[in-house]
Amino acid sequence: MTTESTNAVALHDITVRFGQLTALAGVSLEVPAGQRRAIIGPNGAGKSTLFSVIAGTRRPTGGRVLVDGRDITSLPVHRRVDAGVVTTFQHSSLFLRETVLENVLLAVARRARVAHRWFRPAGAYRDLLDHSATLLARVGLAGREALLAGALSHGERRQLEVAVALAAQPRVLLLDEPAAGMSPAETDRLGQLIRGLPADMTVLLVEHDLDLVFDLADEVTVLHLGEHLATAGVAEIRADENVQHAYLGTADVDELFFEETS
Amino acid sequence: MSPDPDLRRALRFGLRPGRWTVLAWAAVAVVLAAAPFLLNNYQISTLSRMLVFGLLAISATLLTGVTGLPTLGQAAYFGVGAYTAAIVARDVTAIGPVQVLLAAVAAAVVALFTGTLATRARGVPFLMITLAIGEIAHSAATSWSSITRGSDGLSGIPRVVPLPGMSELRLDGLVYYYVLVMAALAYLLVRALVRSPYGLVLRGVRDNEARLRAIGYPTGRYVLAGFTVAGGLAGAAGALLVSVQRFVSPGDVGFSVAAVALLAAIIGGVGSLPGAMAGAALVVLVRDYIGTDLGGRGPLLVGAMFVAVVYLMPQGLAGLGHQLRRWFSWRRRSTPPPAGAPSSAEPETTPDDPQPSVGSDRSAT
Ligand SMILES: Nc1ncnc2c1ncn2[C@@H]1O[C@H](COP(=O)(O)OP(=O)(O)OP(=O)(O)O)[C@@H](O)[C@H]1O
Ligand SMILES: [Mg+2]
Repeated sequence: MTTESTNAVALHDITVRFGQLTALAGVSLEVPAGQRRAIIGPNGAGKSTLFSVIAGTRRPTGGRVLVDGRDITSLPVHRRVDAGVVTTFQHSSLFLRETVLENVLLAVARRARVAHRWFRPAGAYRDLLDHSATLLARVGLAGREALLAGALSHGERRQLEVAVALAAQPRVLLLDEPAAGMSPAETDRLGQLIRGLPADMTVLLVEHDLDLVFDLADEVTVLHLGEHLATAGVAEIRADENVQHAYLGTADVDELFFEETS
Repeated sequence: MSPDPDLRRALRFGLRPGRWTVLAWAAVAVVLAAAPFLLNNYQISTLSRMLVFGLLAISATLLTGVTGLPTLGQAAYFGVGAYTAAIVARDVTAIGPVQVLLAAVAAAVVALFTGTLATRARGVPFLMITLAIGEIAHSAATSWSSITRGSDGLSGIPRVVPLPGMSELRLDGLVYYYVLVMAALAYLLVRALVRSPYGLVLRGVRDNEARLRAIGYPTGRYVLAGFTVAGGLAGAAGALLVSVQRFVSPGDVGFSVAAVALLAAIIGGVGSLPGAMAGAALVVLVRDYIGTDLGGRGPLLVGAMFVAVVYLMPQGLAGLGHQLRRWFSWRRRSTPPPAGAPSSAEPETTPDDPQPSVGSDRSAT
């Protein structure tokens, strides 16, 4: 299956049920390696659930997840990170009682295979500290290294969330609403950061800021009520009537991207 | 955007201890070294027991405070260590460090096996499983009499010999010095662990285990390793107890010992090693010293003290020290800046204290 081996991520008929509620109803997707793929849809469409299935924090009720053609459906989360799949969380999930630097250092130390060492102090690993600080600078947190993560503002936590994920050296990076709560300047910087990621890194982006989505995405997938509605290029998605209908069908007017992009 | 020249400032334990910390430790060292000249025999062996329970409290802190897994099982590994050391002392060698080492290994092995079960749980279920482990150890000590001599306990243990070629220690003061040196060595090992990358991982488990998994950690293995180390440490403490009292019985493996360890760890302040030591000293003092004057109401007093500390000093003794330091700092500030704020223009107060509070526990310094 040549198509599968070129796809960084392939989902086959993914179903997730929460009791009566079907969050994902047989979604299939293929994301070629190196693509920037946006996933949009109204609240409750199942976007975060889809990410949790790819990252392994949730087992699907049915279906298969393939990364680089390899079936990882039953791999635990940490093994998927070894396979290069790293996710950020819609609701920032950080080590709030450790410093900003330590948050990134945790991911860096794991990748550098020193996380099990216990004789030298962490401060002796100067190159890892430098690397962590460089990542923090990339997301716009230079100079904030010594703060406790719990002391960061909401927008800064979003930035740290991205830095932690990058520190885990993803080949497939899942970003769940990274710009939510960011200022326009922070969002700009995030856009630049994502654009500057290595070309062979596959990026899946869930985002309600549609300016950002249409700016970054090679292709856009629309989910609606747990179903795959459409996958196409940016121009096509903007013109698609079904998509418009899905969005217009939601009660939340803020979600209407036609307003935001006009 | 070249990174900060000294990023160690941005680590919770990145800096060398500051002036005041060094002075405080020097004072503690002087007091501990002078103690045998100032105290009577009963007092000095109480002090030795404080050190022993301090180590046990540190092993509880490693799990409870650092890793976030409150445990009531440390008395089990303490007991394994104590019985192992007693048997080694009686049948093999009187050399103390050998006893300590074998006791630690035996306790660590038992911790590894029991831990594979216990570390699958978190929170209250973990507490319950460790409680059960403690109870099983206690009944094993009582009923496995071919080895433990049951409730009679093991007695007739020879005096400890600190190093090959030396003679046995006949004075309580000398035994105290032996315990002090061994406890200091163990303390330094744990201190290194807490500051290492591995220590950071354990704190990460406490903070947000799910996230730790999401950046690639098989957290279960790390927790099990921590559980094993804590068990080994408790075992080492058990060996030292045998050198102090030259006797071991099921009472040393009981619930009250485990509770003392947990109380001391909590009274000391979450995750703080010096706090755990101080907490243990306080608990032993109240229970064995003041308590005996009150006609055996020690446990009641310890319980009352525990409640008082939890309500009045949520950061424990370690937090109290921090509080006092800020209190006496001549440059008082009304609102502390966020941890080690980059613009922090307070060189007088920050060098030994890069992260003023912000809900942080000042762990092992
Ligand atoms: N753990 C859970 N238990 C029960 N229902 C859940 C759970 N997680 C999600 N759901 C439900 O599944 C549906 C999809 O949720 P999901 O979080 O994937 O949506 P989303 O597209 O990410 O929405 P949003 O844009 O608000 O983040 C929602 O109806 C949600 O209420
Ligand atoms: Mg979501």
